[in-house]
Amino acid sequence: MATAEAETGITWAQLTLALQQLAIERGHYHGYPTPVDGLRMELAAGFPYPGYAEIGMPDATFVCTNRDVDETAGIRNYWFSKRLRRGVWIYMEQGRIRHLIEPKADYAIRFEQLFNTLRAGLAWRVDAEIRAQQKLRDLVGEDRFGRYLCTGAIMERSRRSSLVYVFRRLLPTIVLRSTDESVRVLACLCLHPLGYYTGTHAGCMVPTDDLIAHLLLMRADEHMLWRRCNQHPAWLPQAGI
Amino acid sequence: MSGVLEILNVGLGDLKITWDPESEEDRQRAQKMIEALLRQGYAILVQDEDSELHARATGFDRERDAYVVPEEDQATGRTKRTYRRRTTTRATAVGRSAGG
Repeated sequence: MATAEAETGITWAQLTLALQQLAIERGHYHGYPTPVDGLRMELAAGFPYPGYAEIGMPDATFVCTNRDVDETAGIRNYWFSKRLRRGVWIYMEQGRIRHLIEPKADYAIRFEQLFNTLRAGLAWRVDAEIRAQQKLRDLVGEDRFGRYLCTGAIMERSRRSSLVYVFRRLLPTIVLRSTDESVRVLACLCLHPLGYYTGTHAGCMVPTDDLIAHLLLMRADEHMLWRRCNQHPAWLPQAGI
Repeated sequence: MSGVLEILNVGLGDLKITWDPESEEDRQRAQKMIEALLRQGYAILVQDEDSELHARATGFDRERDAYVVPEEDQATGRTKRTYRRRTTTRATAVGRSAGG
């Protein structure tokens, strides 16, 4: 990454700013995400340029001969096994159904996500994150903002449903049902305005803006928040617990 | 509270849009922008004055120059239209999202 900056004389921050100026001129006020080498973007439906997510991805073309083509080959199913703590693939090969248990354990997936999230950090401007934090302080008050700075999380109980939301920086929001007798994790909600980098916890927006989106949607329209989010059970690596 | 529209933006944190309440040109430009945002699928979340309460605007009324916010009538259980004036409301626009 440092080499690219040295070669072109353009910093990542300058590139990000230029993309936003272009986006605003075209009436796309959410802006355009910054592509990061080797990290695929998953963009929201309706993003104005469908091929944008492929920028920075290696060419996927491959060549095969007609001697090694297996017409029956294909993936039938995939799930993450809570018991095995690994992904399980069911696939067809040579007309037979086979299975593969991924050698990668859940902690390895979590580490990969963490590492790739660090890479995705190139896409964010520090001044944008600071502005987002100033907005968050206005929304939650000085005390809770101070705790957010120290812990990276904010808790709030919904006035409508009484569910407790733990909004976390760079991680899915944990939703709890809390009664006098027990506390239970209902789900971990993952949502990124505009899009996110796959295999990471990084959204296209700066981390605090992602959190603000979760917080405001919870306050304003909880049903919409749940409709738009991916809902992960707590034990999945993607839940970030 | 004076009116402001903050649009969450990828590279800038947020775009803060304010208006001159006396300017007709500003009013028309603001209305066009808000209607365009709603058409593009943005969620516009309006804040109650001096409160943490927020609601989602489902439309914009040009004549009233106000966001349309549905509210449930506690007595009848029916949903009724209420209005939040653009020039005195703090609103945040969040673009369409991708689940993670």
